[in-house]
Amino acid sequence: MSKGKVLVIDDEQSIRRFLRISLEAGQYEVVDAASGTEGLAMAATHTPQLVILDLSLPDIDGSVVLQRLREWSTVPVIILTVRDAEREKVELLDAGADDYLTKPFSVPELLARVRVALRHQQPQDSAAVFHNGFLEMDFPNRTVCCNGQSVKLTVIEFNLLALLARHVGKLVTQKQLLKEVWGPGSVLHSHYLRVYIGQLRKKLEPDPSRPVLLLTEPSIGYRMALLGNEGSWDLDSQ
Amino acid sequence: MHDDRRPDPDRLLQAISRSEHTSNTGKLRIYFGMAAGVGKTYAMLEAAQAKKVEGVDVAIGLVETHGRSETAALLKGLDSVPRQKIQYRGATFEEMDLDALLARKPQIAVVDELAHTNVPGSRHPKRWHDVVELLEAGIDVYTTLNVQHIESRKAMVELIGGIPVHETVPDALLERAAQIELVDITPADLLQRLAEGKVYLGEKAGVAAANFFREDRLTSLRELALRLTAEKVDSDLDDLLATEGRSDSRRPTDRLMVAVSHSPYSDSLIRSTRRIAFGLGVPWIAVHVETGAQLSADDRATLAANLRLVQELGGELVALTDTDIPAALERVARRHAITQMVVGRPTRSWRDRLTGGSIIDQLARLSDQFDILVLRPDTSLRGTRQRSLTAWNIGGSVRSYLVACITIMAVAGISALCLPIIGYRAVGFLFLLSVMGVSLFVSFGAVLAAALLSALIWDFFFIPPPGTLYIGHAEDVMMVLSYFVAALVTGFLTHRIRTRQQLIRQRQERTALLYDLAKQLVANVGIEKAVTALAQRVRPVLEGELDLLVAEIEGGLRKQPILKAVWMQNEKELAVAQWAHGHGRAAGWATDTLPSAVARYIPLRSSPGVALGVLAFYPEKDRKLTQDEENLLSAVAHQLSLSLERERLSADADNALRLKESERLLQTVVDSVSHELRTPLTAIAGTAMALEAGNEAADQVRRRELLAELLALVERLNRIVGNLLDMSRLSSGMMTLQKDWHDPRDLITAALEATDRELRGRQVKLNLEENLPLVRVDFRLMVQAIVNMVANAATHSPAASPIEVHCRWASNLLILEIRDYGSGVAATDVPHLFTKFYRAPGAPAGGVGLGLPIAKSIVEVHGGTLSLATHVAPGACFVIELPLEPQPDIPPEDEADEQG
Repeated sequence: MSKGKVLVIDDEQSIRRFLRISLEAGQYEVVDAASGTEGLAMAATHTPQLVILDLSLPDIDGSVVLQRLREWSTVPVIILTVRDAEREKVELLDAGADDYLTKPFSVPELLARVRVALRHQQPQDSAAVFHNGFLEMDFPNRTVCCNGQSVKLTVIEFNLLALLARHVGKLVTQKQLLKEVWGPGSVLHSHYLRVYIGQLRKKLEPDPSRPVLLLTEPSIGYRMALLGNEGSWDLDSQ
Repeated sequence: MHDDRRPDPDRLLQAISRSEHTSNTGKLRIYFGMAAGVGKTYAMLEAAQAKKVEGVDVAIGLVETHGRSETAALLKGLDSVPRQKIQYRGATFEEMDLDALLARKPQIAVVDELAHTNVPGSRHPKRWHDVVELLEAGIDVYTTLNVQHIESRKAMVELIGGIPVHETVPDALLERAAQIELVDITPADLLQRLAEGKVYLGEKAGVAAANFFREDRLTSLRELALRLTAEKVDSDLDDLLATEGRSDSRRPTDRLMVAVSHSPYSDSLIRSTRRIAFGLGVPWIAVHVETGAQLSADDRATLAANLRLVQELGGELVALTDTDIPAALERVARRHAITQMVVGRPTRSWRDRLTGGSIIDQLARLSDQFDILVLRPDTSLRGTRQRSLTAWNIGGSVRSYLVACITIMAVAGISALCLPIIGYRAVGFLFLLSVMGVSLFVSFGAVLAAALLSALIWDFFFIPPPGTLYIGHAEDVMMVLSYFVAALVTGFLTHRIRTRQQLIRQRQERTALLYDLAKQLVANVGIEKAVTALAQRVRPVLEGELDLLVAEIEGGLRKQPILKAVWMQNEKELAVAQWAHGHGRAAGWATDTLPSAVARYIPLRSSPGVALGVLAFYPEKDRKLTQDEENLLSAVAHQLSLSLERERLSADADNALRLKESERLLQTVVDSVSHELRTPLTAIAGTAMALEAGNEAADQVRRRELLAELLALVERLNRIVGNLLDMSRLSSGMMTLQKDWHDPRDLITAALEATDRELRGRQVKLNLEENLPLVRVDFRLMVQAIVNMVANAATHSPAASPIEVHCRWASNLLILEIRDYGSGVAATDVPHLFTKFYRAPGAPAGGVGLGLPIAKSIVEVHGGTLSLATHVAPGACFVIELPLEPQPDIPPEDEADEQG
């Protein structure tokens, strides 16, 4: 059974072929389009659960495709870019893209992103307690446990962590984090994030210099890794 | 005499350069007549009409018809450029619109009355200046001129006509004319036309002008005009012959020289010299000897006018400083191989006899290398004050006389006290001593007074019988007389020595100044510093400020002067500078062009004539510059041109070098890239083919190996491409840093993630200090730098050896060390470590020699350093040091906010 329908919009046939093989191997159904216009039409007719969109298209710019798509659809969109395009990535993420992949990327990386994107598409259970690997958050009581040990967090640290947790596995842009935790006046103060993420890592990560939970997406934002259910951490200790 | 047949090289060059000159610039055609009313304008317009019919683009700059219908009729069909209106003292004047005409750029411009004086406020004081500008813009000009307006003929015309001539045109312009068209009618005809009212005599035509039109006078003027035209034709013919090598009419070795001073006679001497020289067809020079004498304002004005006249008449001016005029003249004459020297008939004075005869006598004694041509003084000038050419000044301040008298009185008082002891004769020696002393400080007149006064006092108070001027003893009479002579002579000599010393000092000062200037500019400190120093040095000497406008390579003038002088900060001054720049001639203050500007603008040109900039000189007060000061100013300009030229040449050389370097680099890139890209591509293709060929039964382990190999190769290709992109951006300067605050740990983590594959199977020791401060860097670039360092460490050390990354901070530096345990860096490789595309001999494959140079560039654009730590063994340790900026503010969070 298919895990979902993915629309790939890319003008490079080799990329389309590679994505199709990889995604089908991951048991997704794949439809593809070679141009922006075609892609928009396919999105309307095939109603995919996920769109993978290349930014450089022959007819219309990928950002325009995203913009038109967002006029009527909330389907998750993962964009494909080349490196160096940090500013563009941030703009697109703020404009409604859900995640990005920088070429060249590996198949596991691709599948992980697809998985996260589709997961969020499922209705969010308003669970009061959040488990992720060694981390456990109790939202109503505003408490955090790490490996079962209670950890003291400041208000801001907690808010920041909560925001990332709510989007677990997904990239959250700096702007979004700053706006929601510090307020709209602070969206340019990226250094707040550096300091607070540093503090959180120190309190939560097993080895703060090699973080596994709070990952940096350079110049773009942060992501809380989905640690999965394996490992030695007992999720149901509560 | 066999030499005489050879064409004079100077003349040849002149003729050639003239023909070159005329080909680039417009041709001047002058309709020339003896007086107003001969029909010059008419003839000129007829010619213009004829050209129009031929299809030549003719435009009227300005023509005065004076209400005459025949002339006006000839204007029909010719395009006329509207005149400009200039306000001056409440009245409106119409002048030719030079700019409009230049913009219109016809092939031929018709401009009437060459000698006209423009209304103040026009660009140039004289219309002939306008015409020169038109010619230089490549426009042919037709114009009219009367013989009375020619500079060298002015005096003669005044003599003939009995009326003063105010408006003149330099002879040089006539020589420049491609064609002089003589418009000639007989005096009788002209008088006839006058009687018929066909001649316009100007708005202020009065009795004087009418008197001018007498048959005898007209005949003389006509002769003058005819002769001038003939001379011009003659000289043109000679030029032609000279270029063709058939000249036989000249003694080319002849050279005339005239001495110029502040005397009003100099004027006529200069004109005569020019006339004679032109008649002989030989060059002439004018010499001015500055003796250091204090000149009155009137004298200075006359001198300046005389020197200007020399230049207007096309003579070469030589100025030098010396107290001994005859010797100086002789020196110049010898240096310039002068054959004839023109001097005025001197008026004999007592001092001439005292100092060994007049200048002529002394000149004649000094040299027999040249003829001396003595001209009679101009009779019309009789009655004007005669001034001497001597170096000393009888005058002097009242203070000078006071000092002299008081000294003598004081000595007299002392002598009176000492009289009983030393006797009256010794008093004479005291007086002599004091006169000598006084002469060191005061003017010559005061010395004379001191000598006289002391002689009288001595006689009256000291020589027996005292109280009378009577002298008792015959030997005392002798003594007083010889005392007087001795006092005079010693006073005179001392004074002369002092004056000479002053001159020498002045000259030394100037020489020192020029030397300093040259030194400063040669020191190559950059033009800005040089100009600043220069302006400071020159300011007290020239009593004015300097500034410099530098030209762009493309030729335009930069708007901002180097020293940002306030007086240059307006459109008008900049426009004057622009004019000087565009025309290659000085403009502004005390020049012929736009003299109302506050400063003078001197164009700076390189030797091949490339415009380099404009030197601006702003005089502190409005005054005439002496010839020496003018020379100094042009020396400054010259030195600056040289220095600007050198700067430009070295910039060119730098560019050429850089171009060559980048060509070489490109070649290396192409070679290296094609090799480095092809190696992994070949391997990829091979691996893929091996996979394809392998049958289903193929060993699973082997398949996995091949696939891993493939991925590694792709990663390697990706890194090469990334590095190439970074390098091109870093070296083209197109990279804009996207700096933001980052945690150094993030940098290191990202770098280690990116090198995951290279580091597989190794122990990576991370040693990061607690509480590392934030750094403001471009994240992606800085990670790339660390990646390159880590990849380099991995490449150059055994597969299982550990790699260490240390990060700490000290005061204002973040220090990041990447240490490997490989073979280290050979001493011979150290100098080349950071050279692009350099790969250590025997280095393992996998790089293009770009990693380290790029890392270094990245660190350096962030203001940091990347270096190889010394004394590390085994292996190598690279150190990145980044400057720390003041940490950004973080809003404080109370501990009270801490949650349980």
